[in-house]
Amino acid sequence: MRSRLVTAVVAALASVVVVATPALALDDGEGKGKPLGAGLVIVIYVLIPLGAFLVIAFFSTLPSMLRRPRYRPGRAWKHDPLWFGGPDDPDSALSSARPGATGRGGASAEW
Amino acid sequence: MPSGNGEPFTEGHVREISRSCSIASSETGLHYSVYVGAVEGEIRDHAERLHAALGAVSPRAVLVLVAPGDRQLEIVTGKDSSRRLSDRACALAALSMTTSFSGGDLVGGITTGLRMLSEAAGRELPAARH
Repeated sequence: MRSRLVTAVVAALASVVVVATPALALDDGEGKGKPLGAGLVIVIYVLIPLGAFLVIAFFSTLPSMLRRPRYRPGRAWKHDPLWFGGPDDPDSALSSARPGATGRGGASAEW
Repeated sequence: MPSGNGEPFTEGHVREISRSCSIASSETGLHYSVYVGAVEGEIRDHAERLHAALGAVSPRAVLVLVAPGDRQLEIVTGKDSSRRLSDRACALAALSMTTSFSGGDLVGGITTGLRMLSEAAGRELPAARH
C-alpha cells in the first residue's frame, strides 16, 4: 500500500518534470547568433523594401504612361485644330466664310 | 495655326471620331462635321464661320465645335439640317457631350453626341412623291 503511494507520487512528479523540461532548456532566442553585417542590414531593411516599392510603383503607373496625355478640364489646349468632315482646304474656305451666312440653329453648352 | 504640343488623340481615337462622323452622315443623309480646337473670338461666330466654310454641303451640315481650352461647345445646323434637328435635340446632345467632357472623356463625348444627333435627325425620307 505504501509502496504504491510512493510510486504514484514519483510518477506524478516525474510527469511534471518531463513535461516541463523544454521550458527549463535554453530558449532559442537567448543564444546570440552571428550578427548581421551593416551591409546586409541595409540590403534587407532598406534596399529590398525600396526595390519592392519601386516595382509596385512602376507597374501602377505603367498604364497611364502608355496612354496619351489625357484631356483634363481646365488645362490649356495647345494642340493643332482637328477638323473631321471639314473642307479639303480649310484655310481658303475659312477666309471667305462669314458668320451667320449658313447657320440656322443649334445649341451651345459649357462644362 | 497654333503650334502643336503632341497629338491630343491617338490614331485609334481619330479613326473612331471619323467613323462616327461618317456613320452619322450616311445614316441621316446630313453632313456631320466635328472641329476640335481653340476658338477665335465669340464661339458662335467662329462656329458659324466653320459651318459656312463647309461650302456646298453647309445647308445640310451639322457642325460640332469643341473648344477644350475654353470648355465650350457649339452645335450649328444649316437650313435643311435645322428642319431635321431641332434646337432642343441639339441641346440634349450638347448636354450629354459636356457631361463626358467634364469627366475628361473627349472622344467618348464626341462619339456619343454624334450618335445622339444622328438618332434625333432620323433616317432620310425617300424623295416625297407629289
